[in-house]
Amino acid sequence: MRCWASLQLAISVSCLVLASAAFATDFRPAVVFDTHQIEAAGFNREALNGALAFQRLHGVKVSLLTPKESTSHDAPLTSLIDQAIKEGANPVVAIGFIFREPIAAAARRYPHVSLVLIDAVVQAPNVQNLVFREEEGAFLMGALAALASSTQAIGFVGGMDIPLIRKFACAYAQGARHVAPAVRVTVAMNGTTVKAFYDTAGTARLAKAQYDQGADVIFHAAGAAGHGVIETAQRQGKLAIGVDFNQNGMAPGHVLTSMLKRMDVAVYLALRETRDGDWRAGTRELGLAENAIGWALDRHNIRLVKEAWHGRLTDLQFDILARKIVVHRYDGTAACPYVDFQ
Amino acid sequence: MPSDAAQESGLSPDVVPAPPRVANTSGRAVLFMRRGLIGLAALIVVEAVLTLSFFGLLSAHQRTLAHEALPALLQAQTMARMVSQLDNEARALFSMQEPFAIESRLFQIGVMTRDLADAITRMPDASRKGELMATLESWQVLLIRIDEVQRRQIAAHERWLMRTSQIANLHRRIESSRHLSDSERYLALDAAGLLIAANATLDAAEIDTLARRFTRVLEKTRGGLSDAGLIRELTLGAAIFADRIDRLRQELHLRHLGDRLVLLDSLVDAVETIAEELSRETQLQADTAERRLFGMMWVLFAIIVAGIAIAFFGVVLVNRRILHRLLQLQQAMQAHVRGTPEPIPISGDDEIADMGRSFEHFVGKVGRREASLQETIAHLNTARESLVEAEKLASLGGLVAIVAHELNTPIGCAVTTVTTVLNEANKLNDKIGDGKAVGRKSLTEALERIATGSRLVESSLARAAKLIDSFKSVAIDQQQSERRKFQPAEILAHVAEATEPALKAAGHTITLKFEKVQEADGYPGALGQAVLQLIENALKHAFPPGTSGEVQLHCRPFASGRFQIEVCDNGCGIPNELLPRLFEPFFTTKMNQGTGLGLHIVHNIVRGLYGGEIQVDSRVGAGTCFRLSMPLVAPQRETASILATLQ
Repeated sequence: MRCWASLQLAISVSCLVLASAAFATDFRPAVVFDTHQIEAAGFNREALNGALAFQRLHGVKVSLLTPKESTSHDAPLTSLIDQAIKEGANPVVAIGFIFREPIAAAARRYPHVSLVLIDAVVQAPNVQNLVFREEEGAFLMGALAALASSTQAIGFVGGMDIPLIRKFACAYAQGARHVAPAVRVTVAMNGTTVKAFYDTAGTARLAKAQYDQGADVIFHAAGAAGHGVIETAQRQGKLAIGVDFNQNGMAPGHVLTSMLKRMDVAVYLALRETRDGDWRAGTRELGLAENAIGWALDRHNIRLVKEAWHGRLTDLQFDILARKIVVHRYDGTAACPYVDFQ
Repeated sequence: MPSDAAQESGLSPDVVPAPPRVANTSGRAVLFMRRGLIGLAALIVVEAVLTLSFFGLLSAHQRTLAHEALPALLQAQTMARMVSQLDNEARALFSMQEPFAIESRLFQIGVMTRDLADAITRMPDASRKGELMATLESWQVLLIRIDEVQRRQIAAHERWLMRTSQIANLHRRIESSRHLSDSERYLALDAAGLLIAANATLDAAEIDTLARRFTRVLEKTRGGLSDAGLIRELTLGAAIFADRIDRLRQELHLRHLGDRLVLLDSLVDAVETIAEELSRETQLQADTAERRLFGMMWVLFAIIVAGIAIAFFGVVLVNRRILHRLLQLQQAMQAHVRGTPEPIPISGDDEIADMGRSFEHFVGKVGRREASLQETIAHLNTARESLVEAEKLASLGGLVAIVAHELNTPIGCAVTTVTTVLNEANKLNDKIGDGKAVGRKSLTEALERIATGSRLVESSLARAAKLIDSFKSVAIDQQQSERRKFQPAEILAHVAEATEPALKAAGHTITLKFEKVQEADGYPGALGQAVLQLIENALKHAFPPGTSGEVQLHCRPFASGRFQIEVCDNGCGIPNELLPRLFEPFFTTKMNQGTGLGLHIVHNIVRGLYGGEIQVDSRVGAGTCFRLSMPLVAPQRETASILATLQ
């Protein structure tokens, strides 16, 4: 029995060794997207950039899989992951929280495949979750909005009213209060369904209302629906702050900045760590320190963001990195001390 | 005027019809042509003006392009290059550690910035100048800030180096201190280790943790550490945490200042926008010019098409209204010239119709004039024929007179002699009838006288017969138009014989000199007549009354197949100015003596009938020579033409 047991142990150890060796030699990464329009500006585009950068820098072919058309259902995405794995892909990197269920399913069916889920969390032994500390970015955006506001009134337009978006709103209000305790922060959500992330008319209406009430800077965390906010800002001659990817160029002069959720950094990191054998199951947070969260400064907004504000934001960023400032992380369990969500 | 002409021509003016009416058609066709030509010329002028304005527009556009748009574009490019250079220089700034190097680099950047500012000031486009200058000002502020943070960063770095050696010293001191117990040394080393960690970490959050731990360790040591100096040094070392935090903060600031270099991107953007706008404007101008040109081209095209159409219709109209009718008129005129008259087109009421009518009028007039001329010529011909006839008769009359005169002598002599012989015979008969004895002597004497008388009569009659024979020969030959073979000398001899009495009567002599000439084939009568005419002409004109002259008649062979007849006199000669007109009909110097046809007839016979040559040599006071060069064989002629010549 003991013999058997030690033999089993030896086998399992050697299996582990072989498995890791297999990882090193048989590294065939695939990245799956939820839409075929990955070339268009957006976080998918960012993810694509990360994959392409890895491919170019390390000379490893990265398979890119997209469904025939955009979908909000799980089934096509599940089959997409199946397809990738059948083609021998390992690891499989899934872009976006929409892959939460498909990855959970795949984790059960393909326990030997390393899965990376970006922007969502699935608890499974073969799934690595890469999530962002969005609140760090939102905090800085709040601070910048408060600095830039001449009316000392700023706004927030969220997409779907879910904890993630509330996390944005809460940290945003916190950042604003941090630099200007008297600043008025108005928070509005575009809806309670997924549609809220696409309804630009709704966000435009909300933004207009906030501008009309005196706000001169609005941060949106409404995905594609954020266009409504930016367009309204342009129409009203006010300022908006973009989210996820650089939206400064959408209405130059009216987008103060964009909070960046660097999908490219996340994808690159996931691919590189897997290749180097540093893949670990569990959740990994990416934030300011990893340069995965930031804000965009480019030709379109360099003259909007004054050097002094920039210096102030740098100090705040440093304080967050040094944990002198702790950004509130709303997760639905506790109330936000800066925003009353009801 | 036409009536004047009629009067001049000698026609009776009363038959001349009225000239064609001069209608008020003045310049209908001319006006038509003139208007057409003016219209075409105006079209050409319009086209030329349009074409010139095209070129003007093109060149104006080219000028704008060459003098404004292109230099501005070049300027924008230069500026873009300067901005990119500036960007490179500024980025290099962040990697520098030596203060003077930074200072000199900043100085360089400052100069470049000023150059750029100058370039912006020179820009023609004023609208964006303000924005560019504002950006440039922000850039200068940023440079100052970079300088400031960089200096602070360098200072922090130097402080860090100082701290590092300080920690190293502290470490050495702890290890070498003899006052410390082992536990104390452990605590001191722990504190120093925390300082080393803090000095090395890049994680700002960790420094705080390390600082707190350091404080705790320090609190432990403060009670029982035997080396007071070491405690002081450790306490002082606590500043390392703040320094490290400061260093990291400055690094972050410096990094973020680097991010602000995108300011130059906005500068590049602005410059590019200007360049784009300039090129768009240029393009727009070019497009506008092109559109305008295109429009003008259509106008020109339309005008050209209109011009061609107008020219075409003009040609058709001119062809139908003028050229075609002109051609008709010309053909009708030519037909009239050819003598196959066609009706003259006179329809219409313009110049061409006028020309037709005028021509018709003249044709009528000419026809009438010609008819009257024909009549006159017929009259003249009749008159000439009569004159020739008269001349011939005169010539014959002369001949008859000569014959009568010549015959008078021998016949008179014969009559007288015969009367004498008859008387002698009667006397003899009476003597015999009386029965008287006729003496032999008286009979012989009578018979002798009769015989003598008879011989005398015979010789006289023989002479008369010979004369008659001669005249007959000349007369017969003159009248004959037959062709035959003859000896020219014979003919001349007959003529000389026939004319000799007349010459002699006038006191002139005739000399003959005949060389052997081959037998000729031709019209001897005509030839004789010609020579006769020449001799008569000499008789008539050469010798002034009361003088005696000589006529020489020569005949000799001449060249091959020809013979020459020469009729010369030593008379008064013919003045040179008259020679060319000598053979003209009716030319005479003695109106009351001759008809002026004699030499004309000679000319007709020699030149016309015989195809010979006639040559006149004459010197006033010395005489005249007519030389006839005749072919031995005269050309065949119709009898009618011969007779015509002779007449």
